[in-house]
Amino acid sequence: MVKRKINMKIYLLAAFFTMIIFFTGILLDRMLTNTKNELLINYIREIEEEQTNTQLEFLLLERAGKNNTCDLLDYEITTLGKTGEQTRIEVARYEESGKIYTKEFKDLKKKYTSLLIRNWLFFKEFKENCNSNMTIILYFYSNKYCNDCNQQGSVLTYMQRKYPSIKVISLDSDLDMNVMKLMKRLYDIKNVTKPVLIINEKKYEGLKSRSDLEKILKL
Amino acid sequence: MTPLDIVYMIVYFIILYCSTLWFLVFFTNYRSSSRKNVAVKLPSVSIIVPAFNEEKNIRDCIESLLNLDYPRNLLKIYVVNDGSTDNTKKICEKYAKRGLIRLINQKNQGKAAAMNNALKYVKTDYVVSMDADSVAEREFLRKMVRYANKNIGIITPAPKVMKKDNWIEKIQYVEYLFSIFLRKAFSFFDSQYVAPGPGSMYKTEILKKLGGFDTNSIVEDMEIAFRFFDKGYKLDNCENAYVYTKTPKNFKDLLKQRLRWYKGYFQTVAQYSHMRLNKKFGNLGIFLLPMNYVWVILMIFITSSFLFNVVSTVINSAETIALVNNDIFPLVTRMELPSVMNLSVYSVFFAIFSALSIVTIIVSVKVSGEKIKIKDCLSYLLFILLYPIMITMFWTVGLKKHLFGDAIKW
Repeated sequence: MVKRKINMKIYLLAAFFTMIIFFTGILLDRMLTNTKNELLINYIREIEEEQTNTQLEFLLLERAGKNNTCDLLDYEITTLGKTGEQTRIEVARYEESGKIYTKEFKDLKKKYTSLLIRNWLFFKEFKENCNSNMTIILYFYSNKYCNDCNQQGSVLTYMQRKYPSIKVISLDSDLDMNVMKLMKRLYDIKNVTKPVLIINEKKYEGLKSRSDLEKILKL
Repeated sequence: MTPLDIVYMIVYFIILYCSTLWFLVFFTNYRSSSRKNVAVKLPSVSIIVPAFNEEKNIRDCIESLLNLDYPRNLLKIYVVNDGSTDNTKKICEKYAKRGLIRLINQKNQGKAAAMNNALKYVKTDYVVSMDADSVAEREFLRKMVRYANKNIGIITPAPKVMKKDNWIEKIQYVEYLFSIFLRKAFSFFDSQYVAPGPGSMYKTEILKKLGGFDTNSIVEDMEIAFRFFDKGYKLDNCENAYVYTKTPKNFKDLLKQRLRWYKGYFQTVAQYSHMRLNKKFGNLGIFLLPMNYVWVILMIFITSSFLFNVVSTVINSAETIALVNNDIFPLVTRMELPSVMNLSVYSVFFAIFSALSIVTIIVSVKVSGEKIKIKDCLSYLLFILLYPIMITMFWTVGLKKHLFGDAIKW
């Protein structure tokens, strides 16, 4: 008959090493989050620079007449659209990568959203002043309450890639910002439980497939 | 952080803790153990081979036992023909006529009864159980008896798979190597609770005193280990005494085998429930037995959440394809490459667990006396990717069968 021993030392030692590994993981995640935030800041800075350029060109447009500047603006608007889209993809990736959000991310997203709304205004102004065939889709989504929004996002990405004249501005309706409240009031949007699309100032609610959108846009 | 994130972090912590504990237990004892347990005088040993319809395997098994590097006057081989309806009896009779083995014939009563039947004739110091579909390496017994001492009731061997031709066998090949590592760690931790069928060595006197094998148990090799433990005997392990065993070749047979093992585990634990959370039974009582329950819950949680993510991604992708009228060309051709934005705390822990899996495989391979080979990379990969899902399934269905009383026969 043997007397069985319980070696408490080894249990404690294991707990110590586990904590080292575990908190190294948490620390690495913190460093990763900082890198991601820095990248997002760079994207936002890029959009800001492009918006400043576009704003200047709009001023020129007013002074010199549209014939001389619409070509230049077209290039500027396309670049703005591309940077906006790239940033949208990266923001979506950030959100999908894990649900552990930081305050920094929320602040950056608010900043990015105000830039998107400004982009939307630029696109509208360009369309009106330069008789562009551009189609602007304003898309309100919610990560919290809307189950179909993920699918709608994929369909809109598809539409943008298939028809380059389509510009999509995706807005997170859950963000607590005055400008978001104003936008929602402007289009009479309350709770985004279904995707909401604004196309040519008309509101469409519910998931829209490629066929639905082609019909609406007469493509 | 959502409540689900917190649950994930707790799960990761527990998995990390258990892995760290086994590595610590193993490496703090491994070096000092290798020179100990050298038997001064070779003990006498009987090997019992229960055989039911084993005409394809029995010859190799007997030949390997006859070929053992052990004095013939100290070794006896008993083959119990458990009512075979094929040529098993005929093959064994040839060996018996030459006086190489002793053949015992009985009506089909199962492995435990066959072992007990032969045990009546055993007069040697030790008795080894050997499955008929297994073979022992030449030095097997000499290595095993080095661990023999008065406090040790059972010495467990290091079973390996005989063949690794298809994917099921490849996964089991790595699983058996991993088990060699884990069994040694359990042995250092004085918490072994299984005496594998092929090759476990028992002190005859104690085995007889405890009444032999339980004929009512579907996992008699586990039940006997629990009984030895319960009665205060120690179980040791010889991690380099190799026996090679045939493993199930297809998923159906593997499932059948594992359901018996895991249902049997719950049955045995219920039978010895007084050991759970009982200090008297050392690390097995206060840690391993309760932790096995936690482990089942963790495995179910992780595997089901993984499968849920895979299934929902597939369904979402199918829905997206349908929504764009099956024209995935614009989405696929301009697909963005993954960036640092895709990474998260989950990616960090995924990297940690991947590294841990690789280290575990390397250690298991080394401890088992094998080498890391390029041609075995597929086996390692299959083990990492599929084994967690398979083992969860076995544990879950085994538990269900135990709780709802579904019948499983040997």
